[in-house]
Amino acid sequence: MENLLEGQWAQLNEEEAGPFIERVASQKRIMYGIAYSYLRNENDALEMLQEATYRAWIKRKSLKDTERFAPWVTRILINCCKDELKRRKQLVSAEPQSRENALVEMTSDRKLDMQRALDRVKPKYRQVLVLKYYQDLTLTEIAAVLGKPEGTVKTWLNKGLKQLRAQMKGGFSDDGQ
Amino acid sequence: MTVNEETLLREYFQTVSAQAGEVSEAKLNAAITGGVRKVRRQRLLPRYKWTVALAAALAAVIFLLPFIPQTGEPSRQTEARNAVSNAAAYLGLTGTGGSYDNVHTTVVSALEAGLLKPVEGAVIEKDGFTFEIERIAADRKGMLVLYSLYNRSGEKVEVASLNVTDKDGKPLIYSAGSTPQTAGAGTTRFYSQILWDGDYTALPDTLYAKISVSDIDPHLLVPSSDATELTLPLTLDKADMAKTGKEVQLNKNFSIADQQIILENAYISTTGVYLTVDYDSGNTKEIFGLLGPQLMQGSNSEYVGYGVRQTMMSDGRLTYVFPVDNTSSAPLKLRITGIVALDKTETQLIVDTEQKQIIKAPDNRLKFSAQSSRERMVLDFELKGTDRATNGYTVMQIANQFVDGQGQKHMLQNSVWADLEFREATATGENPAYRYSYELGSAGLPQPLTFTLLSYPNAIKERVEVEITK
Repeated sequence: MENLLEGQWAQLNEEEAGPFIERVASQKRIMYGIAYSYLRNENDALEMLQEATYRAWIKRKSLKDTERFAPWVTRILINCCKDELKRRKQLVSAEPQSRENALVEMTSDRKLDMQRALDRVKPKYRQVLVLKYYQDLTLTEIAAVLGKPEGTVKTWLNKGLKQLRAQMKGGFSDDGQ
Repeated sequence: MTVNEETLLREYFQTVSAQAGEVSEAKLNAAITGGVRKVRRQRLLPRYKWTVALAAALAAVIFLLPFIPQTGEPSRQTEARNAVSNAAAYLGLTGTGGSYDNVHTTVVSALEAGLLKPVEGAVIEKDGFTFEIERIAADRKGMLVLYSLYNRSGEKVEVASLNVTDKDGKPLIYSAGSTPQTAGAGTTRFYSQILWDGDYTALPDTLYAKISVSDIDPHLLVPSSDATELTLPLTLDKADMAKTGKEVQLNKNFSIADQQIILENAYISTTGVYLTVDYDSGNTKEIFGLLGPQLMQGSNSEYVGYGVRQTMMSDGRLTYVFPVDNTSSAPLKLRITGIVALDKTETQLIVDTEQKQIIKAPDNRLKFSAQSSRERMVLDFELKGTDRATNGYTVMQIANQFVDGQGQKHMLQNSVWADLEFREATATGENPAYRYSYELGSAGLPQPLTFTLLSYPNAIKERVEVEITK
């Protein structure tokens, strides 16, 4: 992996980009994971990673405190995903599986229910849910990523969970009980 | 009874994490260097262009190496994607770089192939909204409907999913209802892919397609009572539907863990690929489901892989519905990575709820939780090793009816699904677990209690590929 990066970099022949790429690469799994949680598609998640790298690269001079690179680039990535979702029109698709006995169907339904519920949570709340429950970040860390006060993050978290609850209401009590 | 949404979120993200973890290092690296290269090309001075073009070409070879499909690995053909990108853009499905989720392949390719026929005059106006059905494609199993809403209300509105009924309002769709979509001012285009609830020959000649438009309220799960309902009649050409698609009698037996699985037939048509599967009654294991079924299309080791879009139960037969690429005639095959099954002699769970003791269970992953009480049985299904990465098959289900020590039958008092939690690994080294709580209804039942397992997350991994078409 590292050899490939170095090889690519040698061809780019830009001294500044080497350390930059290494820094992004150190966060790549986290960034890809977040993008995947938003777009649920490998190609799209990779494109978001590329787009975030692009935006971070052209804005790299604006990062004064290099210690804050990780939250900074994560925030850029989240913004890319939000922009992409805003741009994209998700259309009506066929309905999830019936609730028959097959295990395949039940597991898939639960996932679909959650996907749909998450899709309907406001983007600013959803980003907090992703960072907390997917990336296991603390409220302080989330505040650093989003550049918001911790109190705001806490409020967004509660509102996000509340919206999610509203969406999920009754969603799993659907087996006739 | 409600589920703790934090638990569900964690459970959901674990599945996402398992999927996200499958991406290769090389692809991630290529995306990162691509992000930097994208900028650099724009900043080049003209005299460096040829040098860098050569370097870029060499780099492209390096970057593309990881993407060259390995035998049997799914890959998306860039050219094929470009070919249908116009259709995808028309449908508003494209993301960055013109890509779209292959769950939409069926409708995109149907449009590209000219299979979605225009519908003349299917327009209705009401309360500042115009609902128009633009195109449909119907076959023996289902229908694709392409429709639009013109919104003059000045507000962004919520559009409930298209429902299709007979003249008396009886739904004709196998499973109806989905998350509403939104529509801003002007025209928004949607599509719906539906499955017939039953034999298509029993459908009335005229169907009624209805959408509900209402104000956006994130707390409403159903359209509000003041929603605007717009209904349009649709006439089906059943003779044409009968001729659409092809049915392939397969009757192919294959074996996983010495269990016989029968791929009975395939219906390959405009709305999807429908594969009907059965399990041999002589099997020694109870099969709860197939692990990771994927429809592979392609040849020469270059394949596109499609996940299951929907499953249907009909006459005791399980049908898997996959997306179809209507622009491709490449061979199809079904890939399965295993089964979820238990020996038929192991589908009983016998417990002593007084002693908080499991007397008989399929394996030792199931534990009695200290949270159990005499009226409430709480079981932890511990996740070990690769349990989390079994494509989400981490769910146990037991029948609602159980038998006490004197042979008396009882019913569980709660929904199993409503009382499923995920418990993280503990500081004392306990594995993470799914926690199931069952309301027994009363205490002091004669022990032991016997439950029947309707599913158990016992994944048996064994990859099998079955040819469907050549």
